[in-house]
Amino acid sequence: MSEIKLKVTNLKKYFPIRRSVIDVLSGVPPRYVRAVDGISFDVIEGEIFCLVGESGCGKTTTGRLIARLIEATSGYSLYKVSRNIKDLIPREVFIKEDYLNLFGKLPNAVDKSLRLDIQIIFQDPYGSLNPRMTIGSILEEPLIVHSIGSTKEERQEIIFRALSEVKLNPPEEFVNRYPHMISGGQRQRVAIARAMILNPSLVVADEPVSMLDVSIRAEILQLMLDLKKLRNLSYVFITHDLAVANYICGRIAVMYLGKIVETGPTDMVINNPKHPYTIALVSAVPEPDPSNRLRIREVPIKGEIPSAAAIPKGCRLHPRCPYAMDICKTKEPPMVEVEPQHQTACWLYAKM
Amino acid sequence: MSLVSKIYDSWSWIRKEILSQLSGKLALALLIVLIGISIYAALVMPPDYTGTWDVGSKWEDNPHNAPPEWASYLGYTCVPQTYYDLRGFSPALSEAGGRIILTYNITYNLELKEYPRGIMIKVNVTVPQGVRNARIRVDVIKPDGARLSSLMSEYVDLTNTSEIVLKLYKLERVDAVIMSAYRELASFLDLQDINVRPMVYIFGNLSYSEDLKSVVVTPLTGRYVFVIVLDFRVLGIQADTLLRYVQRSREFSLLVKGTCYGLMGTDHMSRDLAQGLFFGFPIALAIGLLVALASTAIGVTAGLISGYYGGFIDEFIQRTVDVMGSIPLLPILILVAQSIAKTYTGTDKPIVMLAAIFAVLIVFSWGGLAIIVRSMTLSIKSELYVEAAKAVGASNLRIISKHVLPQIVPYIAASLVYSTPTAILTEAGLSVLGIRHGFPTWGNILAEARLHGSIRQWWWILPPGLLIAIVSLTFVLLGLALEKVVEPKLRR
Amino acid sequence: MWVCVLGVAEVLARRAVFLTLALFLAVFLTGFVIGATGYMDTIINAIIDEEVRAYRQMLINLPQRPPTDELERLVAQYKQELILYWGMDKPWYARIFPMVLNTMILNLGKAQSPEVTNVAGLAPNSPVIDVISSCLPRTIFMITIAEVIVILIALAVGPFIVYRIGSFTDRLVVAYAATMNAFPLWWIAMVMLLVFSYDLRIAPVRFREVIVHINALLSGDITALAGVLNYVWLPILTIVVVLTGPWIYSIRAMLIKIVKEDFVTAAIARGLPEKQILRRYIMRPAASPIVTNVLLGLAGTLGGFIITESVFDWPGMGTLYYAAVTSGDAPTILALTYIFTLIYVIARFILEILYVILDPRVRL
Repeated sequence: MSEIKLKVTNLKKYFPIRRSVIDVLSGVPPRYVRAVDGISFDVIEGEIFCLVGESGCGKTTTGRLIARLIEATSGYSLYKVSRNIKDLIPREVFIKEDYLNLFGKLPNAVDKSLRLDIQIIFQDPYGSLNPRMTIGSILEEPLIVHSIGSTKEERQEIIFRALSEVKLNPPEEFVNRYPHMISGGQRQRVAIARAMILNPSLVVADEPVSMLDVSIRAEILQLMLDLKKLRNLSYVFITHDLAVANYICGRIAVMYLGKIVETGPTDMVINNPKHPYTIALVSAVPEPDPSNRLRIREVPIKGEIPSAAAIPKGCRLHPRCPYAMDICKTKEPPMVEVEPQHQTACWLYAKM
Repeated sequence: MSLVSKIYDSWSWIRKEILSQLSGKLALALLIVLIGISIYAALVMPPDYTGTWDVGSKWEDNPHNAPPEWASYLGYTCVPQTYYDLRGFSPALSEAGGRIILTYNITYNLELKEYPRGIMIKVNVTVPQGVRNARIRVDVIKPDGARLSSLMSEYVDLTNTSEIVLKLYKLERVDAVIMSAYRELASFLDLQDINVRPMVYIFGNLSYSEDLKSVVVTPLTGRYVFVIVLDFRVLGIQADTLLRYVQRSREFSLLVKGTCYGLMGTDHMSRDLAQGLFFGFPIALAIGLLVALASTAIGVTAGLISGYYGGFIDEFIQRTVDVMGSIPLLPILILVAQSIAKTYTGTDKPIVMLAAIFAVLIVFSWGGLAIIVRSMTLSIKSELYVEAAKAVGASNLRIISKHVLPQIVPYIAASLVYSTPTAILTEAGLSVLGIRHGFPTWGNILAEARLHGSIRQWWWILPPGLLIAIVSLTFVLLGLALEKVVEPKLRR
Repeated sequence: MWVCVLGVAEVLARRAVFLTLALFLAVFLTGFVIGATGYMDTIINAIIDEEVRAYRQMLINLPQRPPTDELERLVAQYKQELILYWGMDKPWYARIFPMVLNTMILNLGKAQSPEVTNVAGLAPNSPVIDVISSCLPRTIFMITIAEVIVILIALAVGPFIVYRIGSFTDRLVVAYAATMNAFPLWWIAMVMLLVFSYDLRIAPVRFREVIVHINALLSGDITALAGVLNYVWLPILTIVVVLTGPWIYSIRAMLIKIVKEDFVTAAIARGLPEKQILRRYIMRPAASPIVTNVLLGLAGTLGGFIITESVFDWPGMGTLYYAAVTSGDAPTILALTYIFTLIYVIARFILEILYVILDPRVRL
């Protein structure tokens, strides 16, 4: 069995809500949006680990925390640094062997080295490329920042290779174009090339295909799979689309309001969902088989996802859950194993 | 791609936008002319120009308060400036009792009905050893036959020196000279008027008024003879030797000043206004651009810091802008300038005053730009591509210079364009108010026109104001063209 | 709802605090400039020297002239008294800051220099408050009225041309605005004086004489209006000629922004009559920027146009301020800075309240 690439324990991210002077004076306690509220999961080396959930469930925040674009409120992690950058990091930063804590305070140099090793692909290829920069200079930026390639020609060479790798051929036709001169699928390929050009070992993919035309989604997903095989990458793949998750993921974690409600190997979770929320998600996926059409309304989850600023007490799903019991309104359910490797947080399965 | 080429890209885009409009074309044409003139003027400007503008002796050959020469087309009578180099003339020589007398008879024809503005005789000669002293005397014989004796005269003692350096322009007891020349009118002559306007009596026709109770003066055209007598007391020197010395003098000349001067006329100190206006170009542009560059630089920096880093520093900058915006600029500016004008005594006072005026203008003018840059930075900062740059490890400095700065170039250009004329207009306004730094700016010329000139001297009042307006019009038009770059909603 | 009211009140209270701070800083800064540059000391020393000289002269001319050493002692004693009276024994900040604080509580003191009271047309050493209250109406009679005329013209012409953007009329207005924006108001004033007062001789030359007429008018003599008009028409004409251009341009710019909005296009597409579109869809959203400009513009006029007033030698607030600065009259300078800033700050605060009334989104 492969080693663990990333182990996240009790990760939290609270965004403070701005208070008025009157609030401060009258002693109203500060309030927070609890976007990510204590989640734990493991990513195995070389696997695609999926975070699934509705918009607003905290999955994107989790991705941004792993990519270290925002600081965690609290939480602990063990991240296995790849051999490429191991020598760049001083020994005392490591906690054990090749592992270090991503969410702690790290020296600036370590922070910069880690950016070589962990990359992110964003959802929106229209926003993630600066419209005023050519494809060439967009791809050159990471090289300049990390002083890769000493001459312009050397960098040009790396850029050409990166462009061919994402099937943008011939590369010399693309380097001088601006983002608005290429299609959405091509843009996302450029974004992928930008993430890959630094040769990372962990890539956070934040809904990389959800804004693309359906016809090109499969191509991009296949490209990501090819790159993974080629480079032995690990992915944290964020999506709201169970069909995509089913196609690409090894293991899956379903998130609801900042918590993981169910986790396990993809086929177990999707074919045998246990948590009422997962059941609802799975049944919302249109089935190609007409005989199954009645199953769609089997678990009607009511209403909309509440705001993360006003999280219900007890089980977060209880106001919307058709199986809600008294205990659900007062106590948070613990994570229980329902079959090997398959866990869920629901009082239906927990021993009271 | 470097920052330079980025800015160049933005610039070529701005230029295209500007050139697509009439106002933009006009503005660029004007700007090129202004910059061309300024560079040329700055290159040919004498290094001590700003220091010698106020030195009267530099301008003594010019008529004072003279309109420009082309004013003759507007009905002004322009008597030309007439210069005689006396070294080339042969005087009548006479020698008697240790004295050598050289007499020059110079004919001057006054053709136009106007009084010349002055007479100036300059002598700069080395005489041989043995000349004890010298006397110079000037008589004028008028076309009506009247002889103005000893109109000017000067005595030089040469016992210890052999240099004669003289400038004769002061008139000796001119009232008495006129009276003795026109004895029959003597009782009706206004002596005070003669002393105030001597040239009128020297070059005028004096006659009784119709009621025979006063004297009327009208310009007297015709042939005037200037009799210039050099009277030397010598010891053992030949007359022709002395004459040779005089003919080889460094300067010996007679100047009858005209009534019009040059391209733009002169002021009360006989200064050539064309020169002042010409050299005013680089000074005006320098004042405008210096203030504009400084306040734009501060505004951009403050806006970037405020928007990019946020937090306490943002709050501080925003509140500072807020407070500064409520304080009236002009009163503070006037107060600062006046306080320094009254208390500072160093020789570099003009520079110190200008610097203080600049400082106040700069301190009070960066706020608006800072607010715009801040809001732009805030919106760019939240763009996904900035986050992507952070993800690859780009530093804050890199993000600011590569992703934020190129997008605010149009605003930087607009700010430069808007604040340049403000500085020029304010400096001129302060000068006109009477807070004078003494630096020869257009505003300063206007201020002197208000102080020393009569309101009739249009050639003194109109050109500086027009030039200020043209410079500021250039930037206003440029701003008008830039508006569509900065405010895309105005684009159609 | 109550929470919203509290929120608005908090925003307004916060503004009030900052505007008060700005007010204090303006006066403080002014005091600092007069004090730290030594300007006030220079002026006071000159006053003391002059009084000492006069006192010595008086002693010398006495019938029983005191002996020289006695005379010197008296003079020195008198000088010491003057130094104590003016507070010159203390450092500048110990004199200026109490004055700043007194100004802040409207305890404005007396004008020091005769030039200042001369502008006001009052006796020397009049209270500053009297000096200001006699100059303010003159500024209102000339500059504020001119600005009101300008604003009315701009508000009439702006909406008219906003429908004809790009037309010949529009281009003409823009060209006029650009030209007038480039010319300094005070220079046009000089040219107007040259033409109307000196060349055509149909306007007065000495504008300071208007004091008599305005005083008569203020005391209820309606017939004095003709006299006031005789003086006031040229300055008003000048201001209207110069400022109308920029004003029309800025109103036009505000309206264009709104005309380009989708909701106006939608209203035009629905075929609503032009008048209704103008009133409901253009002027109403434009109200708050226009009111801002109008109010701040009018507030600005109360301080007078310092340079223009000085060119006309018009005895208003601007000329008063200039006289106070050139003669180094600290109490008047501080008081005027205070009044200028106070007017502006009050206008800003009124605007904050008006925004709440005008903009339904702020009100909630």
